[in-house]
Amino acid sequence: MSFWRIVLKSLKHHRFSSGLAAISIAMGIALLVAVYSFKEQSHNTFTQAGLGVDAILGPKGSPLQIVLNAVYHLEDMPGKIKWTYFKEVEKEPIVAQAIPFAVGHSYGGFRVNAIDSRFLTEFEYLPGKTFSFSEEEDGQGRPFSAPDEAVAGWGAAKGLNLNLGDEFNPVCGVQEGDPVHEQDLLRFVGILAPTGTPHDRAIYIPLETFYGLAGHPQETAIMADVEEYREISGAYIKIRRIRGGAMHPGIQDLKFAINQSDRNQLVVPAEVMPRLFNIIGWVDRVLIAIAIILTALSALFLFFSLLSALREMRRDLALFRALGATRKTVMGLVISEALIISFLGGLLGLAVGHWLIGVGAHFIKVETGVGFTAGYLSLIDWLVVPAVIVLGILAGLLPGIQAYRLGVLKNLSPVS
Amino acid sequence: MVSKKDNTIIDLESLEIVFGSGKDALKVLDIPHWHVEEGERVAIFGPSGSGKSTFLHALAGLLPPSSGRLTVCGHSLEGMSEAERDHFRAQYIGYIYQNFNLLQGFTALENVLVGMTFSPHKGDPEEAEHLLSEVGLSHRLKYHPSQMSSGEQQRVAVARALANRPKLLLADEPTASLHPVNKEDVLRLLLDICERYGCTLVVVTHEREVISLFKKTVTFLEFNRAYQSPAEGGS
Repeated sequence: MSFWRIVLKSLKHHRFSSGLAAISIAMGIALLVAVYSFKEQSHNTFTQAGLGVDAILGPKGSPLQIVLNAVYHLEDMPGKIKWTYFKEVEKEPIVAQAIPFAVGHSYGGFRVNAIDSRFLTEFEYLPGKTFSFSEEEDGQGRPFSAPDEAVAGWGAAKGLNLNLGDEFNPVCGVQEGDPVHEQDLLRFVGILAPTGTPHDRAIYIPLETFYGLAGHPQETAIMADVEEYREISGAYIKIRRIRGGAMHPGIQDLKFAINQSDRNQLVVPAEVMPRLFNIIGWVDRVLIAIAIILTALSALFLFFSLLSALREMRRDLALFRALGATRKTVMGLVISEALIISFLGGLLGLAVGHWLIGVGAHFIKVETGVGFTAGYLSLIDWLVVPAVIVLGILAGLLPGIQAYRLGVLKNLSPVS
Repeated sequence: MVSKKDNTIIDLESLEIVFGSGKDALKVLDIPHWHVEEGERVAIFGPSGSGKSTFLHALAGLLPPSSGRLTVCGHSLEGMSEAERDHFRAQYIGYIYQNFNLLQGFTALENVLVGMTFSPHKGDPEEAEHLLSEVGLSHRLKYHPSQMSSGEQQRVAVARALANRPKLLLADEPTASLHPVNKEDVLRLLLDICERYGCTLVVVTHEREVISLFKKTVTFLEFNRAYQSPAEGGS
């Protein structure tokens, strides 16, 4: 009978306490894995990818508010900018692409973004990736080409159960109870294939349609025809790349120049979002601390269950010694048991943690359009195995030392 | 450490075992000389508390000699480290206990397999099954100790003691926990199996009827100078 078979027999003998210890470790690890994965994935999504937007030309106001509104379809835009100013910025040599948009409408709880049609055909939401209507990719239809046409992001279409040809009246505002443009009926001609970005959570209509919606004041309606009066909420700006794909450094000068104006500013999401994460980072830290405390408590539980098991095992261990096992061997038996419990708990924790990410990712995608991946491997995933090994050794060390010190004769048969 | 002497399995001189130290020291063994040849079957008779088990523990390397010389299976046990004595025991000694000392969570077969685990001679399940069939338990392989009679449990203990192919089989009151009907059976089994496996057997007992089966017997009271009978005011 091998050493490991003896360990497994012993585990089987006190399987209830071993199982509880493994499950408690799994809970701690699962929470740690899930929290850390969400933290890393959200950080990557919100700060590194930039969702294809190098900068946002917007009105004066909170830069964070502008990013949240323009990119994540949250909050409100703090004002408007002049079309003529936008055209000036568009001509800047380092500006590769400028896509104007006007926000402030909604439908069924989803934001309606009136936007330049190039957004649907040319804009790269990730490097090399433009929006797709391909049915193979779960998209449908085509981009809008007439004022009464609209395109739904994948999440909005799912959320509203939209089909091509469905019609809707946009709501003038983003709050419940805001007035409806009852005379303006728009028709969905396309549904975007999923992108795993907040772009999925919006409805897109032609920019010009925004100005012509019935019910808007005369000064807005005239913007449809006279460009010098026209106003927009902002514009997505793509900056030219230099060697290695880096953004042209001239963006800092451009930002400085634009920010000198009284009414406009250039906001770089990659600069703003980390600030947001610094503000809300304490939530991550608290959750991670809770997960670490939970894991440490589970190690403590393992320690006590091993001590308890050791009391039952004293005679067996003494017998192993009598049969020729050395002190180190019986110590190894106890520590190996702790290691196996801890290792199995760790593996179970990894599996449950990724399952939790999968479940959470589904809800987050439906609510925000941000795609999280259950299979994403965060730093913690790589640390779990060595961590549970250390945990097992630590939890098993003292019971192991007690086994090492166990008196053979004292724990065997009575002396005649 | 190895001091071979022709066919000698046990050879000791001025062996003392003392528990404690200073004024609390208690000498439990003081044996001037003893010698057992390979293949002998010896019964040591003595009352409870006379140090018989302590003597077997010393022979098995479970207790180091406090002084004197103790050579078992050609190995001098005095001066051996504990780990060396563990290895010695795993290689040369089979031990049978009064209360069987079987592993309750293990089947009969597994109990015998455990007897092979720490030995340099790595046996296999077939050999363990053979040993159990030798003691008449081929039908109880998957039984746990709690499912067997005391006689059967002691037979499992005998099979386990043989699992490492020992040179010396030590039995500590092997029949004390058995029903009278089983006592002679187990003793005959021990003698028979030692004959077949070529083991030297040392049995300690306080039961007079047991020693009648042995050609060589030792009365521990005369043998152990440290023991004082209750009449003499000792332990």
